[in-house]
Amino acid sequence: MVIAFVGLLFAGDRLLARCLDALQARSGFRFSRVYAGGDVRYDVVVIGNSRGVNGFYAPGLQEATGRTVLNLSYNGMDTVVAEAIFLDFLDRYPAPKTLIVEPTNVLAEPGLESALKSYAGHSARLRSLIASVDPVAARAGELTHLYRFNNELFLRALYYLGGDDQGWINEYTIGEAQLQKLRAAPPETELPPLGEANLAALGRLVSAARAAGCEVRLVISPYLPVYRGKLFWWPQFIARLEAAAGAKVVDLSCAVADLGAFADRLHLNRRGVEPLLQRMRASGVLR
Amino acid sequence: MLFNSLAFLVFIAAFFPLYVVLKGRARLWLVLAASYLFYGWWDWRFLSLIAISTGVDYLVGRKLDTVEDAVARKRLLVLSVTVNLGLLGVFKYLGFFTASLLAALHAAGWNGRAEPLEIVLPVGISFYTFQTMSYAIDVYRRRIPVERDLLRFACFVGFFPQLVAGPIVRASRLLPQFREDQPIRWANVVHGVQLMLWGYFLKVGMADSLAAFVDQNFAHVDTMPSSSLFLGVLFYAFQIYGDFCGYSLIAIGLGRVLGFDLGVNFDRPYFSRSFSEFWKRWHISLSTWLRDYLYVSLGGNRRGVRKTYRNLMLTMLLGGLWHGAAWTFVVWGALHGCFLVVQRLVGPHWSRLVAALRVPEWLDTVTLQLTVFAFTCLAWVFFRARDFDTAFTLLHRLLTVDGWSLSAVPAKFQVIKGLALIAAVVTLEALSFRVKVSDLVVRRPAVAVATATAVIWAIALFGTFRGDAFIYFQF
Repeated sequence: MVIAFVGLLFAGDRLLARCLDALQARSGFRFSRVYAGGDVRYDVVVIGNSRGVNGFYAPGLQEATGRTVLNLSYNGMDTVVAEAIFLDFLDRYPAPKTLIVEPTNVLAEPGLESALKSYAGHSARLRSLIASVDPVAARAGELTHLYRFNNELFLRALYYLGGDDQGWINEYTIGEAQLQKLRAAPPETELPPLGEANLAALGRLVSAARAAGCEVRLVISPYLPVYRGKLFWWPQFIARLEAAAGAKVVDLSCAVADLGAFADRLHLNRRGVEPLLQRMRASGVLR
Repeated sequence: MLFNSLAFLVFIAAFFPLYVVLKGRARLWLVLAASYLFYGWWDWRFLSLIAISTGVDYLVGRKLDTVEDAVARKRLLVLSVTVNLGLLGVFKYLGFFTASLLAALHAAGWNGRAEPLEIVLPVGISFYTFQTMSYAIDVYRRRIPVERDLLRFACFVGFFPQLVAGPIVRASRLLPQFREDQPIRWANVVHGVQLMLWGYFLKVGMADSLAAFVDQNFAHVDTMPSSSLFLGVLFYAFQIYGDFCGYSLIAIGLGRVLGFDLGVNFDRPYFSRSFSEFWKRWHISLSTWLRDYLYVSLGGNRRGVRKTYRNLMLTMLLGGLWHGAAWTFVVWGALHGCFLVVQRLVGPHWSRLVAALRVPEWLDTVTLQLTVFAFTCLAWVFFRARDFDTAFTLLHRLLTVDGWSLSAVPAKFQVIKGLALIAAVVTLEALSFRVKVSDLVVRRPAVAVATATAVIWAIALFGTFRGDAFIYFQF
């Protein structure tokens, strides 16, 4: 009985994990698309954290420019992960004409790596990242393949089966209570710690994209004006980004003044899409 | 040492072979040493408190065996209760009462400065003090024979599966099991492992998966949308159930593997049709302790209606206070006391109304279950909230019309996963009323293998491995 139990446990684990992997590969979720690969040449690829998700609304960009756009941004994606995802993308797709990087993810802490373990079977870069950030999760993922699918990204992949996740954007608007708190908050005078690994990854990402023939644009999406006005460290931050990337930053952090266009202090909502597109046109980001 | 930790795995891997090999007193010494190692892993200094509780109640028991005089017997009982409640009072409640006194003095206009006491709460103290007190009380009432063997008695008090978070096992159930070597039976191992696996699923699969969303909502009650707060309360009801029932199952299952019967501590409480039924299904070892040693001692329901209500309220108030040194726990207990009183007042009228209207039984059952669940959730708000401000703000937000949009709920995928896990647990528990899974598991190896593998797969696929301690460790 013990042998039957252990045999069933491991064989079933591997078999079920393969089934889940096959299911995940059919999803319209952005990372499933990356690892499924294809011949499609995207004109524009966007990458960043949640500010990239909500700041650069792919259907809006497509309509405005007439170009194909793929947004690979994800909540909590730091620059190290962004580099790995984009390089994996380049291994599987023709290089895009333009890469838009939302570079404020240099401020992000590692966190998304473990969630990407459901794609780890397809990427040596991801396996290496996960092992360096969360060695226990990496080993657990070797012991039980089902564990790799124990994350939110897999649930999103299931949600987008037969669908397309590019229309993902915040629908809610920041509330008055939050606005009042932000108005009352003191200004920030100290630059928050920037991950050196993130800054280095930003430099490598820009270099790799250029080497593949991409035009690289570092574009900072809008912040809530009430909050942005309190970031006294901003010029210092821009200088560090430009030095690390070896590229100019297009600073659209103040591009949208309408408070109703924001879901919170960091993220636009659907109402902010059009005003930002206009500013992107005006600033030459959308050529 | 947490049940969901690597240290525990190593501990049990080392303990079990020795337990199988050793017999008689050697086995008892192993159990005691392992139990003290298990407990001392948190803080070795607190072993002295278990030793004090053990020593006092052992000696009280021995003395009660030789003393016939009623006054002297009562004094011995008072000694046991005083020492045990004294330990509890100092380590659990002294800081709380001094802080409350200081707050009251400040409110009355006193301008003096004094820092409230910060005393570390020893893990499990609420459980083992109640366990040893029940022994002394039962010996005093001549319900059980005295235990003359100190080693056996110390094993009863410190038995590691149930030491830190229950169940509170009565001496009448557990002590006799230490009088002879419990054989390792295959059926017990299978059943015990199944209980432990289900316990781990409830804890790391369900409870810990719900925890982050609950924490986020209770930490930001003034800014989270009402729809999210509602889900937060619902999730907490299942987080605390999964956490505590999960721990109990792991403890009971582990005891079963070792050949011990530690009873049942949870019996599908959210299917209760009344609050009295709820307290026969939730934390059964504590509720029966409170019933037998507090409620009955106060007179129970034998001294008229008003005194019955008084006794119910007192029992539940103290039950609330047992859970934590904070007024929110007292209010939680008071709410349950009120629910029990109201149930006694309204119950007979409800039954007559249902009969008069010829309401189908299934509809009556579902209505009652949902009502009990809803009010239980209301009470959980006070249990979980860090202070009254948080609790009342949350309740106020739940009563407002605005903020009920589902699109405003954050972490939607976390919510969907949480709802799916709750639905799965509720469905399986509902099915268990028709099918006795434990019997099937023991009688049919194929069922045992299939259910064990399914639960392990579910833990791998849904478990959240934050290494969270069990909620009831703080009690």
